[in-house]
Amino acid sequence: MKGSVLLVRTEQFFERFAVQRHRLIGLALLRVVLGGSALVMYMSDYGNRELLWGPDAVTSFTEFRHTIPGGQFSLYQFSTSQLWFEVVFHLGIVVALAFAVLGGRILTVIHAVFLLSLFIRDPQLLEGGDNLARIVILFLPFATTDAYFSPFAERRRRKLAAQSGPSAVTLLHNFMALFVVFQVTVLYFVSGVWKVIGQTWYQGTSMYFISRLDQFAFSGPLTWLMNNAFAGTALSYFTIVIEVAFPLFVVTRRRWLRELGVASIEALHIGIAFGMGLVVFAGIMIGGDLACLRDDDYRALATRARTLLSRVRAARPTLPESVPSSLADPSIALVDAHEV
Amino acid sequence: MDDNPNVASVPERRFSLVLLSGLVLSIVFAAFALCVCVLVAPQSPARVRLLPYTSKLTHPYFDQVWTLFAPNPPTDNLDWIVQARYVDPAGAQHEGPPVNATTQLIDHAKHDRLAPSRLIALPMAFHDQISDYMGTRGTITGAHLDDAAQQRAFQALNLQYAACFDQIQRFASAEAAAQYPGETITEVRAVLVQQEITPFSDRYQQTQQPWKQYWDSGWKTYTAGVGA
Repeated sequence: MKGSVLLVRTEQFFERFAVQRHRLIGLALLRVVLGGSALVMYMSDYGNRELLWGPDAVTSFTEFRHTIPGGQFSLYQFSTSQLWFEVVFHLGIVVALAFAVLGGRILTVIHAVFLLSLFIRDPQLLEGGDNLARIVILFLPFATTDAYFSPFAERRRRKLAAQSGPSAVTLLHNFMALFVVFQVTVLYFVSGVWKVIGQTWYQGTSMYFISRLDQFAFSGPLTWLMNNAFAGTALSYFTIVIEVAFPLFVVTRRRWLRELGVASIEALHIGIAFGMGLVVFAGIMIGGDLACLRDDDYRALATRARTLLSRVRAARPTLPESVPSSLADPSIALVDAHEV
Repeated sequence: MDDNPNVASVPERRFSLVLLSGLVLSIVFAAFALCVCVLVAPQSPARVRLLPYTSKLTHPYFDQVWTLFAPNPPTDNLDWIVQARYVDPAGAQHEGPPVNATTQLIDHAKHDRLAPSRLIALPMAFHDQISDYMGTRGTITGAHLDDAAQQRAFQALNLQYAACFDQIQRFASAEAAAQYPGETITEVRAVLVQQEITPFSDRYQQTQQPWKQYWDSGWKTYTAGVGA
């Protein structure tokens, strides 16, 4: 009897989680960012594609085939012909664009195959952002990512609204959203904890050293600013606090705290993109962060933005409707206002 | 109350599917969360014991490293210097001046700030591997082995890093081809040089730390057609 009560309660718990799909806006934004980042990667090295991924790349074809991990494959492994490489590479660009714009399960699976194929061709070229993209792209085929920011979004939302009652597909979507959020949260927390035990991070000199690494010294002002002991220490501590506290920002019931946490970490990533030149890394991380905000957060942000916009519009001086058009001269209104 | 069993069974089956899916997904999520936590955790006796089991689930699709400039960022710059030997049309052999390939690639990346090239990732990956190679080489040297055992250990190490050396040779060949278009290049050489970043306490001093040679590939046969 107790067992059946437990079973019913468990079922009720899952039912609550299986009625409505959550984080539809965040996952749609993540899809757009992942597709866009892949496009940037394809296009930024379009001229160097032979050297990085071609049949005669720096990593030889023999070595590439020899080092493919068990259980994985790459579309680039099937032929050494130049034509095959060009076809796969250019199809990858088209698929990335279609994935970013349209979304949908089938396109997500196809994009995942092309993207992972490129990543496997030479893993040395990958950075932290690619690592996150490589993982979350495996969750996205099981989630709904085209309910927003897609030409078919409205149709998708209508279909979702027509569904009534709990369903296993909805439950699967929500679990995939949970996987994505968990992965992003682990990323920041672990990175923050590793920094806490780093001598240069708690001494506040880590940003000074990073800003002097040739490959990351993209911004003269940042390098100059990091000469300042206070600025360097503040930025180091800010990074640690934001990263370690990120899980709290995600789980808190206080919306303002969640938004503050995500906004702070976005500020960090914008700094990384322009200060250190890690544009794709920062882009993918921002995409991951956006999946951590709830649909209600986005709606609240949109409401606030609309309120702000309407206040700005209301604050503009307007002429009464009864004033004849011949008198509706902005210069006259300005003179009157000034005199008052 | 409808006595038709088919009608009554529809909602029951749906709820059962939700329950079953929920249980399965919960177990999968718990296993994933545990495996990822073990994978990314700092080294500890518990991690050493668990990793062989958890990596069976995480490798290769969920492999991940999130140190991101932690625990400490690098405190030195490592640059690749590439040099080439080539034969001119008259048959005379020339040795080109050493060229800093890393600086060239960084400048190339800075040329397009909104979409920087990934080429710079290549020399960075190479110097990471060479750092590991030199570290292991140092360990072998310090192990007080007899000459024969030491030679065997060095040979095994070189074999282990053969792919890395091949990549460096191909990278140097591509760089040389870009520097001397139309020449008949015969040999290339890649040298890894290191410069310590000025300590924070000396940051306003004008003098920079000297560049030191860290590793030298020696002259290797040019590989034609890399990246062509």
